[in-house]
Amino acid sequence: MVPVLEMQGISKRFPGVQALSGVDLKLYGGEITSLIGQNGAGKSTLMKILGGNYQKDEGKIRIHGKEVEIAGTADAARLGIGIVYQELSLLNNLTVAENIFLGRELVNGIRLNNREMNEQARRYLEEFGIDNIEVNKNVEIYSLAKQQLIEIVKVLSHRPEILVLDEPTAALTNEDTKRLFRILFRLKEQGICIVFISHRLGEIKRYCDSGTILMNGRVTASVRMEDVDELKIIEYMLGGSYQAYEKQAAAVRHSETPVLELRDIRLKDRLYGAGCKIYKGEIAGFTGLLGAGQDLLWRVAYGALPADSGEILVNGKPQTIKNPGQAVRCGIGLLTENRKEEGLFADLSVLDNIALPTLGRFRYSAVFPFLNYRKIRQSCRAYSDRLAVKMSSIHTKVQFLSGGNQQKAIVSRWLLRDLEVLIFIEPTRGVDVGAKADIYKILEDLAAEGKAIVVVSTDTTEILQLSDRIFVMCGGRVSDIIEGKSDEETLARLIQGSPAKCTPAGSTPVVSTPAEGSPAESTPAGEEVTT
Amino acid sequence: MNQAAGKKAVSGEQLRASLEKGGILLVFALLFLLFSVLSAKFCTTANIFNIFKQVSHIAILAIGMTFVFLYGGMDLSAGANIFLGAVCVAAMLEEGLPVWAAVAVAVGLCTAMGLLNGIIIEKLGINCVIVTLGSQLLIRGLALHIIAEYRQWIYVKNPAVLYLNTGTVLGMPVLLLLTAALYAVAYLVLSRSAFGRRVYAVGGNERAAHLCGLNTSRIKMLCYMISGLCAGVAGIVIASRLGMVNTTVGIGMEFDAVTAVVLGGCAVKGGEGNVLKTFVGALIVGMIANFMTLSGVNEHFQDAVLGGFILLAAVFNRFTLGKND
Repeated sequence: MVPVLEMQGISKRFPGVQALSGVDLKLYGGEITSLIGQNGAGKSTLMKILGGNYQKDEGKIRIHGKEVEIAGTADAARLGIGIVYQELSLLNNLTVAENIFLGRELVNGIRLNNREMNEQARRYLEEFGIDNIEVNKNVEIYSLAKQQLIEIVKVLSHRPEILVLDEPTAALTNEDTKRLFRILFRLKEQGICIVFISHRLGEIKRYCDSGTILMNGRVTASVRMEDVDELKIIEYMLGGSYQAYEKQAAAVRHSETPVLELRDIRLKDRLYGAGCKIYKGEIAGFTGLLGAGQDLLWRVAYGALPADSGEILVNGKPQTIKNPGQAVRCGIGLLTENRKEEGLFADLSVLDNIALPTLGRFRYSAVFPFLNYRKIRQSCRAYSDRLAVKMSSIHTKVQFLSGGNQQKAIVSRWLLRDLEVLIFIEPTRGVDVGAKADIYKILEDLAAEGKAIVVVSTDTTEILQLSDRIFVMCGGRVSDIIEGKSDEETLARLIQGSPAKCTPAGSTPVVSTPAEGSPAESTPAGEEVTT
Repeated sequence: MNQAAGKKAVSGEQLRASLEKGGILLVFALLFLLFSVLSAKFCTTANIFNIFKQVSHIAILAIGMTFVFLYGGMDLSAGANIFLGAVCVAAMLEEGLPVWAAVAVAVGLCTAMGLLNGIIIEKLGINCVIVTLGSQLLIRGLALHIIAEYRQWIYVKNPAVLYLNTGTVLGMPVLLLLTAALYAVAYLVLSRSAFGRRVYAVGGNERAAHLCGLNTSRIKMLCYMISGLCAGVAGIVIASRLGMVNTTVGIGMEFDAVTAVVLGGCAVKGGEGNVLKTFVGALIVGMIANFMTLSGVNEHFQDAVLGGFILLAAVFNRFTLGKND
């Protein structure tokens, strides 16, 4: 059988990195093929070459056995290649129909034919079995999951023969993922070949027919899904045997005074008197539904968001924390889930990224206030080596590091600053399975050294694996604290919460609507409060 | 991988990287060669020193502009501020103040104007283009008010100030040494001081810089103060060069400074750039102007030619080096 798409010997070099070397990929009609690999393995680069965003240095691309050149995105579209990228390309201020027809609007003379566009868009949505989306509403009112579906419909409306989905499920709930795959199965029956990229091996194993596994820009294996198990796939991804993470020991409480205590933190319509005590040497896990307030609470504690009221005590002493600078001086550091926007200086070196908040300590003297870069290099290296940050040199721009290594660089930053409390919001989002275990190990080691670690995550498996104590948040308050062992089921029940616990005194109950994604982001504050 | 091929790829990449780093130097060298061939008078020691002197006030102004650009801002009041500096120093000398006091008042006042820009932009959260567009009129108005007291024209007779223009040390013009010294300090500050690195950080990612615990407002306000300070010094330089101050001084000079900074490769969005390349950018501007004067290009036509050269240089940068900014 002739493959629909064959990529042969594809190589691509970026300054300082060989992103792909001699990669082969074959796709057959009516199959879902997964592209598997860690961050930086080359999956996205390969797909960007297919989509015409990047030009390959070497190799051939054949479609139905005929060699083709893909010089730009227009070529890719003409050849029937449709790609749904990780970052959504929808324009928030346009309607669903306008987004679907962007760049090829239907017109009556010079007037837009909105009625026809809406009509056709509606038919597309129907065809793929998507309801509850109105084509004449702006896309911004829909949850991330629905936007993802709209994006997919937009690509499908071009009737591609090859459909690539780059991590479409990262933001989807299990229910939405199932729905997505119902659509994909239907397309598969129509003979379309589908490339599916995901970090979730469970999904891949369950839904895909075959897989091509990449490591450091090379193909390590091409497998049929029925022949392998998840562990085998991980071994191919990492190029060696893999041990699943297991927490070593429970925390030893070093002192009876909490290193950080939050009392009665309030934030309009978001937090209703949340509080907690964090001790040295423990990993405190915070979880809850999206919008339950766990991430906001810690942004407030860090001074990144102003609270309406509440008290913050560090080592038993009340402190004013109105901005992150004050928090850092109190020994508190925050790593957010949004590395690119809130953590990294992409154009600066790894060295600068690590040393930035600590630079003041490296001045020669008050009279000659310039920096001793030899000392800075030594100190930064000490931490980046300890955390095993993989980079060609400490002067490499941080943007050339993989997600996991970037995360480690930011951890190094706060270690160099010698902080007592480290807050990690979704520490492993967008980090692959190998680096995940590394990061868990780092968190555990830091706690064992006596740092207080706060992990905020909606991933309950992660919370259960890591935490010494679990704080469940619900309706803007800490509703339960679990000490000692727990299990998924108990935790899930507590997260859903009981109305009694989740109703803050003197306020109307907050109704979370997980089906619509994050209410904190997608709806104005007033709408989530029902009467 | 084949080792020879690997090596070749690396050296190709290195060549490209060094081209990218030195792109503006290459443009500079090419223009220099071109002008030397076209005009016999161009490549003489006297004329080269002359170019340095002619461009010194723009080069100094551009130091401050580099700081502002690096954090991601813009200072359109620099041209008016240089005028204020020149008027101040001339007027203070006219009033009989000693040189050090006149210089201190001029530089101090210009720095204060820079701080004012910074405060309005940061504390009130208004866009820097709008603020400096407004303050430009304010500053120029203030300076015009002062110069009106002297019938719109002040001669600079103080020998110390004039020495700045005419003096030499070890055969080098004082102005060249002053400019070089200021650039050396600026380079040290930007690459080897905590403040300098933080300017790059704020320009690269302001939100991350804030979340790192940096006081981003203070850093940005300091950048405007430095811009004001440089304008003050440049004002004294231009008063010395012209030997007088009239109402046309400084008009459009903010754009000359911006040109130097942009030619030097500073990213308009902030976070990228090198103050030494700004100097090369300023020299290119000066060299083009000097060459046109030497070859007798009509004064009205000079701007058009300068603009054309700048566009050419930008296109050259873009296409040979693949920089897309």
